[in-house]
Parts: sequence; C-alpha cells; structure tokens
Amino acid sequence: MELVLDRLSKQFQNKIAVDRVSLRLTPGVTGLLGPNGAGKTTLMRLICGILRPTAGSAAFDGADAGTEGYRAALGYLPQDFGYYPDFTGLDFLLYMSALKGLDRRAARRRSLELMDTVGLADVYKKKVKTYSGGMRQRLGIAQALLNDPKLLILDEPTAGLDPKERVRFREMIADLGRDSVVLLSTHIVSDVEHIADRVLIMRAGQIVHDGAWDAHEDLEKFYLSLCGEEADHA
Amino acid sequence: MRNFGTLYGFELKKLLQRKMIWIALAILTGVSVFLPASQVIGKLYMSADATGGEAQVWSHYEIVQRQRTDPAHLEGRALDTELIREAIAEMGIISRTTTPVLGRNNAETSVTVRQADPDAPGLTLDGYVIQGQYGDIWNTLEPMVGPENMTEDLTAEDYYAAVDADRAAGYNVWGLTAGEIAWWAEQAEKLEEPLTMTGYPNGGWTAMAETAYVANLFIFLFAIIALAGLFPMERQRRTDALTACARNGGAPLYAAKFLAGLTVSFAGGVIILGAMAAACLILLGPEDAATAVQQLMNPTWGAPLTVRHLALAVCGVYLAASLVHAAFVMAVSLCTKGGTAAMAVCFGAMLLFIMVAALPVPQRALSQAWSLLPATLGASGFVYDPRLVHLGGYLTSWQAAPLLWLVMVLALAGLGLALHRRVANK
Repeated sequence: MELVLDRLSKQFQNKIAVDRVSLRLTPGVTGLLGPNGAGKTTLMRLICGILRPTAGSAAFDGADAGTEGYRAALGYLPQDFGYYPDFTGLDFLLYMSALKGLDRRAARRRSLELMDTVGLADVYKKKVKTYSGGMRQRLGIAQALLNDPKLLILDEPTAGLDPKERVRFREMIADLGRDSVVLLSTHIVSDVEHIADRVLIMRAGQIVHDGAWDAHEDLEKFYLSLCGEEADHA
Repeated sequence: MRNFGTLYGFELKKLLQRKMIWIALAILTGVSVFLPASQVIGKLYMSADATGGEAQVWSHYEIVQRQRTDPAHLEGRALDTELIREAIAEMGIISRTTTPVLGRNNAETSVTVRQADPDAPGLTLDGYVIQGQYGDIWNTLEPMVGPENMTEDLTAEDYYAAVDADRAAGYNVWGLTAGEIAWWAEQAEKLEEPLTMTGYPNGGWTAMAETAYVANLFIFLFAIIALAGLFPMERQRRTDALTACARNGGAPLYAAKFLAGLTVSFAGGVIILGAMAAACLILLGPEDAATAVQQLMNPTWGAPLTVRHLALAVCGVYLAASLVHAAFVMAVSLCTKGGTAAMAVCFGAMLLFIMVAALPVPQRALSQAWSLLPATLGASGFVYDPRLVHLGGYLTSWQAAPLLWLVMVLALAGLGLALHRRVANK
C-alpha cells in the first residue's frame, strides 16, 4: 500500500503552486505543514484527482489519480466545503455513499455507524442547515470514512472542533493510520506533533522538509525556523 | 454502475428541494390555465339596435356553452352546393349590408359578430350561435373563391376546384418538391368529398392546439429557471470537491444529474400542458371536430386529421420538446459554469426564438431547419406546415421533429459530459 508522487507540479498562469513534488507515502499518518499559499491544498487536490497536474503524476498501488480504482480507495475531507442544506445528515451520508459506489444496505449501515462514531447519532434526521460549524465538520469527517479508505486525505480536519472533540479525532486519525495512508494538513502544529509519524513541510510549492519526527523535539520552533516570516503571517 | 438509482433519486431530491422550482411551476401553471379561461371571461353587449328590441348582455361562457350543447345546426351535413348556397344566403346579405355590431368580437372562439339586416328581426342568442356556424364556412369560402364569386351561383365543384388550386399555389409558395407534392396528393385522396361537417370546431381541443405553443414557451422558461443552476450549484455550494473525487463522481454523477434534469423538465411539461389542456376541455368542451372543419381552418392541409388528433399531436410533440429544452439549458450551464450566466444566455435564446419565430420561406433548408427547433416549431404553421422531412420516407414536421430532437438530446448530453469532465478536472 503506497502513494507515489512523481515530480507532481501544478502551475496557475504565472504562479507555480506545486513544484515537482516527489514522495512515497506508506501506511501511517503524515503531517503536512506550511504557511498560507505554500501549496498544501493544491497538492491535496492533485492527489485527489480534482486538479489535473501540469506535469508529473500521482498513483496509489499502481492506479493513477483520477481513475475509478484510485477513487474507490480514496477518502477526502476538503478544507472548505459545502453541504446540501435541505438534506438531513443521514441523507448526506447516503448520497455520498451512492457517489462512492456503496450498495444501498451497506450504505445505510455504514452511515448510521459513522454518525454514531462522530457523535451525531441523535441528530441524523435533522437537516444539515441546522447543524453548527463543528457538527458539519464532523459530518465531513464521516463522509470521508464511508468507503473505508486506504488513502485518506484530510485538509484541516480539526478546524472548528472544540478541544475535547479535537483530542478525540486525533486519536481516531491515529487509529486510521495503522491500516491506511493518511495525509493530514493542518495549521495546528500540536495536532501533527501528537499523531504524525512523518512530517512534511511545504514552502512556495516545494517540500522543504520530509522526515520522521521525534516527539521530544519542538516542532513549532523547527517549523518557524524553516518558514520564517511566511509562517508568522499564516 | 452500482447505486445509480439512488444517485438519481438524490439528484432529483436536490432539485425538488429548491423553492424557486415550485414557485415558477405554480406561476406558469396558473397562467397556462388562465390562457384558455380568458376566452370565456367577459361579456358581449348587444345594443337594442342590433337585437331589434332590448339591449342584451351575454357572457362569453354562456355563448360557448350554447354552442356546445345546442344541437349543432350543421352537424352531419355535407359541404355541398346546397350548404354553400345556404351559407351565402345567410351570411352574404349580412356581410354586404352591415358593419360589425357594438361589443366585443371574440376572435378566439370564432364567433362571427355581425349585425343583421336592420330591417330583419332582431338578433337572438340562438341566431347568433347559428350565424357563427355559417361564419366558419363563409370565412373560408370568401378568400378561397374571391368575394366577387360569393353569389348564389357558387357550386361545391367551384369550391373544391378553388381548394385544389389554393393547395397547388400554397405548395409552390412553400417550395415543395415534386415528391412532396405527390405525397400530399396521396393524402388528399383519403379525404372524401364532399366533406362532412362533423363536430364542434371551437371547443377545447382547438383551444388546446392553439394555446400549446405558448405553453411550450412556458416549459422552456420553466426549464431555464429549474435547471440553469443544476451543475453550477455544486461549485457555488463548494460541494464539487467532495463529488469530483468520489468513485461515481464522473460520468455516473453527470448521467444522474442529466436524467434528473430531463425528468423535472418533462414533469413540468406534463403539469403545465396538463393544466392548460384540462382548462381547455373543461371550459370549452371536449367535443371533437372532424376533417371538414380542419379543412375549413386550413385548406392547404390535405390530410385527414381531426381537431383532437391535432391537439394530442401538438401536446405530445411539446412534451418531447421539454427534453430538448432541458438538455440545452444544462449544456449551456456547463459551458458558462455559472447559473446566472446560463440563465441569461437561455433567456436570450428564448427571446430570439420568439422574435425570429420563422425565417423566410424561400431559404427552404434554413427556414425549415429553423422551424423544426423545439422553441420555434408551431410558430409558423406547425402541423399545417406542408414541408416534409425525408428520413427514409416522408414525415410531416411534427412527426420528424421528435426523432430529430432525440438526436439533439443525445448530442447535447455528449457535449455536456465533455464539458463536465473539463470543469471537473481543471
């Protein structure tokens, strides 16, 4: 089980958002840090096949990004995403299940199970427009897990969650990392410190650090030393 | 593909949860009911001079109901020399000696409003209704044989010869080929002469056939309002990232959305046309009118077709048009990538189709192709357009249009899929 990025690049007109990124990610949680505009979200969208690379490729277990086989293994939580306000929480998950190709019975069982996992079991019949920001974020996490993904891309998954929920989700993500390749992007350095086996730091479209992390070291200080003023503004 | 039905169901649900759709449908359905209803709203005032006695007021609804329920004066009679001379005798004096009476001339119900000879007995509602029935014959005969020939000497042979000549001249104007003219001649042979006056010509079926063109534009309008935002909605709601990377987020999602769009447009068409049809038949009556009446309405159409056949054909064809409207709007929305922009483009197209409803006939190919578009079909003769389409054999415009539209829907679906893929993978 391996995600292979080979000189993955994306250029928007005059701006190179992702610049020849090559990586091999194996099961475990990989943290992705970087200041605003470093190219993290673009990299994740490239990995998910939502954006077409200008050059290079992404493949998971031999399947190219964007192919059906690749997408069948993928779970994605975007940083900024919307909902269908008149759908109930359960409707939303059933709809996403249909999109992910789950059969109807398995979809319902899995959806209810995940609603319980993310603490929304008592509001699954309520419309999404009545949910708070944190509840919507939890629903987003649930949809990413519907198909038991082997490749999980999480863009700011703990944004909007209260501290207690954050800790709970950190543990859940760490569990998922045992059997899946998890790429986690966040501004919250402590989240990465706690659960990431490996840390990537991105700056101006390039990976400027790629390595395992010693939990005894101060990641925030190291990150600031690499990204400097850009990180201050992030 | 697994779960396509569920995906389609949810796409349909997403569409139907938009309040704008229901508001638009309610308004357009209401107006569709009002159109035929407007024919029976209002009153006809007859002055004391016109009636030869007291001033009278008849509601249009009353006149329509009397026309329907009274035993038809001319029912079952052959359109022969005797009837032609009777009509001339009845209407000719009136036409030559009088001017229209005070009041409203109800063109929609073809009630002839003419004042009787001032010396003749006053006009009653019965007389008025009977006069209207002769009016249909008179109004056809006069332009066909010429006002100077509207005398007591006119025979049925003269009339049918004039019809044949009129047809031949009409075919020439339309630029028909020899093959088309021969095909029409075959159709005309199926008509038995003298034609028989059967049925009530100004009833619900006629109103349906005449109102359906407007209903078709309403369906187009409904498709624009309902579907212009169908695809751009995902981007506006920022759900596109979730759907685009899902296993069925490509062609299956597109197909589900496209099918849901077609379904909503078709259902809207059924509701709008159904409401219009129900109003026509309830208010103006379900009585059919047979071939002779069609011939009176449009003599160049030399084929046996009753008013009911005509109305059903029109409604069926416009239901098929609802699918093309939907496919067109969805393709435009994928092209413009924005709901508002798509709406603007489609409204513009609709205005163009209304303003340039027909192109000059001498440009045969262009003119005929334009007349076969879903929003223009019906604007220039529709089922009475004698130009045929050669698809293996000859087909009339309303027979050929749905087949051509099927190809258009498939082409628009293919174009839409290509655009959807391009938008999904920037």
